[in-house]
Amino acid sequence: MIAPKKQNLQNNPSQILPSELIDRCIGSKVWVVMRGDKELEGTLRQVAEAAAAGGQRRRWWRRSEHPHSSPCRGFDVFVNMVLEDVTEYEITPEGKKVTHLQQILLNGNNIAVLVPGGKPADEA
Amino acid sequence: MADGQGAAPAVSKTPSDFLKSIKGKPVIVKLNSGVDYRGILACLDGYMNIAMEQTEEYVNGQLKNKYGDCFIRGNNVLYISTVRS
Repeated sequence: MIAPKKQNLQNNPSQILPSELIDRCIGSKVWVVMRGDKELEGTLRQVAEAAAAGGQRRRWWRRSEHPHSSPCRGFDVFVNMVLEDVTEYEITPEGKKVTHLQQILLNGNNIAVLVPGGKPADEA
Repeated sequence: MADGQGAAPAVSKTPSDFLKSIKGKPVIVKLNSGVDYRGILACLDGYMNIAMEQTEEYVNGQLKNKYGDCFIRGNNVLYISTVRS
């Protein structure tokens, strides 16, 4: 985990962890720039209220089975992400190829940049 | 309702829950190379290793091949997508 040094954290209480920033994107649009000429824009999976408030026992079971993912986030420690209403942009010599996808599990391996709020209008 | 069975993926949420919820459903798997595989997802694991049935291989959007059964090693996978039916 990337974490600021303790003394820095004490000096600057406004500092947040990278994972906290992604946490704040849950339920809103996020623009993902991949390594290579590929970009995606989609909504980071929002937690269903009922599922989030699921039984303690079930959550314990889930956590023990999948130690890398917290019980109610649309991403995990590898920044694999569940995205919805996704627009995929592939930049090719022939131009931008746009694909729409309902719901995807994106491999975190090739993610370069995450931009909260989605792609700016003049970029789309 | 850990296994969101319906067409609406209302409950699946974390990456691992998503994997569980899409078993047996038609999916599109895109590899890092840009090649698409469309088929019925038979089985998968936390590495994104995937076994698919009735698989169609699309290169540059054109159907190139069909496989009854196929295995995709997870390191090649860019994304797994549900398909609007």
